[in-house]
Amino acid sequence: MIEALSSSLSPLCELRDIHKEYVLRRSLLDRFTRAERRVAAVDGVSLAISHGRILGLVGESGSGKSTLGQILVRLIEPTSGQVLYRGADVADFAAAERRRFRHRVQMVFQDTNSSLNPRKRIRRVLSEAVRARAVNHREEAASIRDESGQLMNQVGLDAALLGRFPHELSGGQRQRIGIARALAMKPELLVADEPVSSLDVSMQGQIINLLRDLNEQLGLTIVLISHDLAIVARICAEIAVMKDGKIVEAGPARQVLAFPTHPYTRTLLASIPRGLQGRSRPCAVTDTAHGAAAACDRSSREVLETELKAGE
Amino acid sequence: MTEPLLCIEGLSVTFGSRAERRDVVRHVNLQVERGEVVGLVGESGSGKSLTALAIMQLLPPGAYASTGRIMFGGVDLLTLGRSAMNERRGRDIAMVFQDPLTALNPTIPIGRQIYDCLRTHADLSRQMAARRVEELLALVGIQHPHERARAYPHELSGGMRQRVLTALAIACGPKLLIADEPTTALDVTVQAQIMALLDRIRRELGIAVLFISHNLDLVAEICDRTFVMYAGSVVESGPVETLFAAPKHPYTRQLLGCIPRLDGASGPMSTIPGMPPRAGELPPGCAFAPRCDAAEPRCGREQPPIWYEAGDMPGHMAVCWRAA
Amino acid sequence: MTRPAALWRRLVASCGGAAGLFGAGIIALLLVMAVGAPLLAPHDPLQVSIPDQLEEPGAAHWLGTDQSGRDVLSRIVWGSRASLTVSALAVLIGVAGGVPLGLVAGFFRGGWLEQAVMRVLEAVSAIPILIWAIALVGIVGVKDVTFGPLTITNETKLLVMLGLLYIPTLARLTYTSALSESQANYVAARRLQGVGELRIMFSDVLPNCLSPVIVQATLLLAIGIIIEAAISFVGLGVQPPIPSWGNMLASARDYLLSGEWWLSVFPGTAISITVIGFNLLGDGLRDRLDPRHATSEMSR
Repeated sequence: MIEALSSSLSPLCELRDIHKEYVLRRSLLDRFTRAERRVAAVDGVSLAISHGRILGLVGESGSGKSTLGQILVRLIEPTSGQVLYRGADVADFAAAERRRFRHRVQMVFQDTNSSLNPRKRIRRVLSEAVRARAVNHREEAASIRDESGQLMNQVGLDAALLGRFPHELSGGQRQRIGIARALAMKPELLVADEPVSSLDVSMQGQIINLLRDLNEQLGLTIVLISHDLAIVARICAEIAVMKDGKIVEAGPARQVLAFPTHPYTRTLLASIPRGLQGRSRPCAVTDTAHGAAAACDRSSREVLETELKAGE
Repeated sequence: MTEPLLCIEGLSVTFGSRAERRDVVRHVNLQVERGEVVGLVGESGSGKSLTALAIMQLLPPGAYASTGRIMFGGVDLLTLGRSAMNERRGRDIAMVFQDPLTALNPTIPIGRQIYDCLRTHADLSRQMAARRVEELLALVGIQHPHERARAYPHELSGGMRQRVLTALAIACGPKLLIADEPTTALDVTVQAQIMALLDRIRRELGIAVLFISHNLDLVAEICDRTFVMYAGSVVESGPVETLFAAPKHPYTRQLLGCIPRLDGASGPMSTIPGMPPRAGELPPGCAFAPRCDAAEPRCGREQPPIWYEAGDMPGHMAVCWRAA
Repeated sequence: MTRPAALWRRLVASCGGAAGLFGAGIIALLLVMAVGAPLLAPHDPLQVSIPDQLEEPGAAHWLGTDQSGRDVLSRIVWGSRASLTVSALAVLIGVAGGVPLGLVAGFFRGGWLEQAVMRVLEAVSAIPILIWAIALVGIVGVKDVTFGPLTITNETKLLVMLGLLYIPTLARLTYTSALSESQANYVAARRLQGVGELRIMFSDVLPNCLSPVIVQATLLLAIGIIIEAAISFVGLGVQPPIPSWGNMLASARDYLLSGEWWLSVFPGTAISITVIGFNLLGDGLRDRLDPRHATSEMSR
């Protein structure tokens, strides 16, 4: 039983048996005949996010990781289950507390094109965020400007970019503005949903390193949602692997990646292209102690059959 | 030495009129031999996709090939008229695109789409074409091909759609298959299957493949030779083993250094500072010099020479002052 | 580049090309004509002068006179007022009514509100505007209606009706944009900042829905001119003796085959040029506003 120990031991945020179902739309006739079909995007997930750590949430499309991320920030309500923040159930929050909670948990989105309003200059994006945080007392224009400058500094961008529109910036710069906007709310938990998937490899490091720096310097707790195991391995202390709405494996990152126990995790690891080392010609599947199997015809045929069955 | 199957010489693709001309592909030379898998690697803005579209004469409106030749089967494709190019497309050169959903007609069952392609290009009777459709679906690893042939694209998963696209592409037995980021939109497990499929097709059918990707690891796995593009031109090319093990161009080297590895070191991820230059706004000298960690003063002033590895085979090549 | 040349280029670019600028020029001339009618018209458009009737275009009357001796040119100049007023105010009503409806339906999607609004609009727009217009005018009548101090002229009835009929098109356009913009991540980000839904709808989503509305509004101005002319042509619009291009065409009907070509050609030309002007401007604006935020070829 987790009592109120020192705050660094109890989790910052906890998910208990979260379910999220979507009801499929039916035509008018079907409403009378067929029962409704439900699709479970998240199918019973329990997860504890520790203070000041970076947690990686890994999975492929359809695994429910993005849905889970949106439930974490309360953009979506779960069908059932509890979300606890600092030990208190979020659903019980009064209006003022809910707003405070909103500010504390922020998100960075995958698509840099739609994450910024194309008609707003960067200056306005940040100043609106600052004003939204200080909703109870009016902020002076000068202090807003100062804060915007600080935020740009924090994410490593030149303040001269404040006057630009989003389409005048590169994808990496837009993503950093997204992070700055989230930081403006002074959050405790940041959910980064595939923050680098749309960026070139040579730019991905900027964002990943920034996230790691924010974690180290500000103690910001981060949940990194990604399909890229290598990136997750780089900065995450813990990881959880999702498939079909469930968490199939979770634990310290190094351990899970080196000694995967669940077959799906093994398949994921085996599918990662290995560059020159992967230049296999017909070979045998080997599970070495480090769980690294060379991708080859036989393992892919096994995976193929499971995939085809799933596709029925 | 036999002539290469595909030989691109000095190709430039340009946007815009004389006043605001932007070259997005600049004097690219590229060869693909019969049965070879050649990789074309670059990041966004490098011009790799436009090069592929130029081969197929499917450039977007406003873009045109301003210089160079594309020799295929002894003919310069750029000089062909529409109907002549139509004949070659599908029959001799085929293309697999990145997004399988939009590349397939959503209102026609997949079997029918392959059937139509066969009847157009190959001289097959109706029964033979129908049988060939099922053979092809089985070849690309789709189970129950007879039933699946009647499915619509939206009823299939992304991986299956990509298999169908591949089947469509190889249906008429092309000599060259251009695969433009065929796995980028797919999950990593599905990606592995499609890569295995491409490899098998190449080995069993002897089709040459031009594999375009931004993923260096994929290219290293499957390709025999690679061309690396930056800001519209080829900066390095050569056999995959030597190129990735010992890259001669700083861009290739720095790019390889950015890729995070599972078993790699921890610590900050490497990046290449700055951004690639926009088309038409190239710096003087080497296009990569502003971001290069090995740049010398002359790199910013003069175009670097082409360095060739000694020997008369198409070996390792890099466009860099420091390559020697 | 010299300053005038640079300014010229910016002007051309802001209208979406040379054709758009040409259209804008036509509209500008039209505005000048409508506003400056008292100053520009050489004669009184209502001045009847039977001895001068049916004069060919000449020195005294540049565009000739009609069957009552009134100067055609002056009537055309004054007639632009009727056309423009009806057309512009109708579009204003359409925008004021249609845009909020579409915005709300698209933003608060998934509920009964969206369904109710969209179905009603679809029903209204199933019938062509011209048919609606004729039917409504037929019901409402063409005489001026007086409510105490307030007089509703026929023109006013016409433009209100037209405005109401524009609402479905503009609403649907706004709805489509609002639908997709509401799903964008920047809207979600604003929610995470604790901002209220209505505030997000007006300050974030609305500005991004306006581009197609502006284009459509310009084209509706053109349609308005034609509809006003058509309604007046059949006698249900602006009533004589007040000049409007449509009723000028109507009275020219009797003279089509008898050789008084100037009675029909000039009003008809005025209508055509105006409509072309609005269409060109609308097309130019569409080119300018739509790809503005599209990614360039070598996207980053």
